Amino acid sequence: MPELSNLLRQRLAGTENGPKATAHPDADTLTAYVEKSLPATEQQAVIAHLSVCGPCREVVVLSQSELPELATQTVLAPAPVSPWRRLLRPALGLAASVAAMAVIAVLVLRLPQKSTPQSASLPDKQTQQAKANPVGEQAVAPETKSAAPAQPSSAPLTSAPASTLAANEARAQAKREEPARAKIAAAAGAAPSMAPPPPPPAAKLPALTAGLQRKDFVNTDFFATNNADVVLDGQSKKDFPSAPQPQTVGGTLFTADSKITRFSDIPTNAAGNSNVRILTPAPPKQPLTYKIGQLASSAVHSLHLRTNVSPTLRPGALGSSTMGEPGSFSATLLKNQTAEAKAAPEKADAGSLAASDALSAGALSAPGFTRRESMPTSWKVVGGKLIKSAGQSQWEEAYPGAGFEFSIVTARGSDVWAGGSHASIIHSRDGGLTWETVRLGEAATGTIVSIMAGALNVQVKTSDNQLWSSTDAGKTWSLKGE
Amino acid sequence: MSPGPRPAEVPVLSLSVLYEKSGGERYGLTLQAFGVVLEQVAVKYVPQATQQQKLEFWRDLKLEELALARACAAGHDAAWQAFLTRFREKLYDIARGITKEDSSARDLADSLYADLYGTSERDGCRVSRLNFYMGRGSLEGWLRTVLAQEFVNRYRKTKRLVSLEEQAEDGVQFSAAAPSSPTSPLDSRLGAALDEALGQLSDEDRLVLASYYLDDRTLTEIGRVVGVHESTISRRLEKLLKTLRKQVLAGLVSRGMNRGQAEEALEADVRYLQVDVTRKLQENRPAAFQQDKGSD
Repeated sequence: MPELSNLLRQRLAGTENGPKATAHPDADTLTAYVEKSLPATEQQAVIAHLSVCGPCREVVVLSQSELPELATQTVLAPAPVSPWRRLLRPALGLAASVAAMAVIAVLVLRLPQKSTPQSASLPDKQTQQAKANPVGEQAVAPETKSAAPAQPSSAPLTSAPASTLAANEARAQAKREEPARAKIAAAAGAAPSMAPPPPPPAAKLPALTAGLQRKDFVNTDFFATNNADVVLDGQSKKDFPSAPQPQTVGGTLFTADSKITRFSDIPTNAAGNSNVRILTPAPPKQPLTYKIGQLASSAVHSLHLRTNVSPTLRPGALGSSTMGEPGSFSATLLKNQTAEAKAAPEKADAGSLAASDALSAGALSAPGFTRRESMPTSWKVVGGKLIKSAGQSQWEEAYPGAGFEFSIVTARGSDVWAGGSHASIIHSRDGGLTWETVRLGEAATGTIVSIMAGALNVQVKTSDNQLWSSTDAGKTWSLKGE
Repeated sequence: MSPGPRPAEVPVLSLSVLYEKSGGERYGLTLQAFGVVLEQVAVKYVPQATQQQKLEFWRDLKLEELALARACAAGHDAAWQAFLTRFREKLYDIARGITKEDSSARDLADSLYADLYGTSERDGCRVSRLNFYMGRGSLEGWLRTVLAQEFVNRYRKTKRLVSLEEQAEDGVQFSAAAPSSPTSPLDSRLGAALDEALGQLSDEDRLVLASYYLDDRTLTEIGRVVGVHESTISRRLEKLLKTLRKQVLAGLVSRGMNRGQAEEALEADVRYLQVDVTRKLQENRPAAFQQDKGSD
């Protein structure tokens, strides 16, 4: 509704400072309004005044310029969590599952060793395995098979020291092992003669084979030649089945013997996939400091913390209604303002309070109140004159004898631009030691109201609404708009 | 029957309790001087209040900062040390936030420091601006508001100090006022209808409209002033415009127009409407500022 907006502007401006306007609230009342600490009645009175007083609206907005950053700070505090929810946290669940898997893995790897000395229970196990697994039945000795009904199947299991869970796991493991052993036997080409011999007494088993099941294939040559500590008590090499010979598969040496190790003994299911997951080590944990750094970084983003970056120059901090309206501000303030304007050069000369005699010695010795020795050159325009101060305390005219009145100065390091009436501009590249006069163009009129200078690009606005720009640090200028 | 447990003793609200709460003793402020300060505040804001009402009013003041400010105004060294430690850098930061420019921010803050210390004398006594702090809001907020007032005053004063010679050089010449054209009946009816609709608005709605249409404030800034979220301001503005349009149309109809004429009158170019002095002043804003505000 642009048409209504234009009308609104017109009529609203017409009623500004009208009969509804009251006396300006003082700074205390405005502060209390901004801080929301006024009683409701006074707050309504302030709102009524603000609705018809542009300058006071400006003051309220400006005095709030940095409040929101403080007000919107978010404190990241953990929400209260019930003990049950704490137990069900994903991290704890993951840790519990990892621990369970570790226990299972330990049981799986430990059980074959434990089952070896339990010679009495082996026939039963094998019988059960044979019943459950017809494939493995081919490799099981007939006498073992026939011995199965002779003993109650549950007796060895119940008498075993392992828990029921461990026993069940062992049974399942044995079942899984059967097909694998049959395959290995078939691969070795010794299926008919592969029936394992009757199990020798457990006490007479060689030390190296103590951890292996009796039906495992044992490379006796290895024990005979490579392990002098192995003593085959009362048995010759002939009592053991001959070990499968190495076979070459696809040019790679592959032995069934190499399968009879703790990890290569992993059985496979019908799909050829392993039923046992190999636990790889967890990825290296990030150091604690790194995590703290990440947390701090995210917290900074969450908290919208202020940085030390200076605010950029934004012309027009004031609202438009303040710009052109005739003065109707507080008479007291205006009176003070006049006095201050008279004293302004003195204050400027005084510079910062650090170098001023206005404060007592006690005040100057306050902590954090130190002199700044190396201050950058400050520039400003006072009374149409361009003045500068290198050390905060002494202001001096930087360009005496100018034929025009300065209105604005912009400094960027040692690069200083100053402009004034008659569209006059001067430029210094050495912090004001030497100056050069800049000619905008014949068409340039008005007073310079804005200079935005970069390294090469410079834009200048005049009070006649002319926008001059240069892309070569002020050597040539072009008029952009009028 | 034994008496029940006695309620916890609430310290009786008195001047000495408030004095103790303010910590004025640290800065050499006596109880008597503090009482005078509080009485001064009460006379200004609650002149008709009873003693009890005054005590309750004083209790809600920022007593510690009030004591600090008044001790500084009295020239107490310890108070000045505390003040500078707490507010010196903060004041420069606030000034920088207001002016958005470093050198003018320093200039503004330094001039306020001089006023706070009291460079002028009245009846042989140094007059510090801190004497005007009444403790209704925080001292930092008060400094912020005073800086903002200074900034606005300076700006407005600068705008009024443009010399006549300069205006003549810029081509601004005195011209006789154009003879006022007779106000068309359309203008008068439309203006009256809109004034009537605006008159029915609440103060807060009018504040929202003025901030948005006259000051070109953003929704966020308006939301901060009014104390609501910017999305609420957006919805309120939309609703206000619809209501105003409806009321203006109704007002035009009641002034003898039919619906079509009223719609046509609303769409009339604003240039054909009556121009008053205030609007003319509004249009005389510096061109650079208009462009900057437009690009925001």
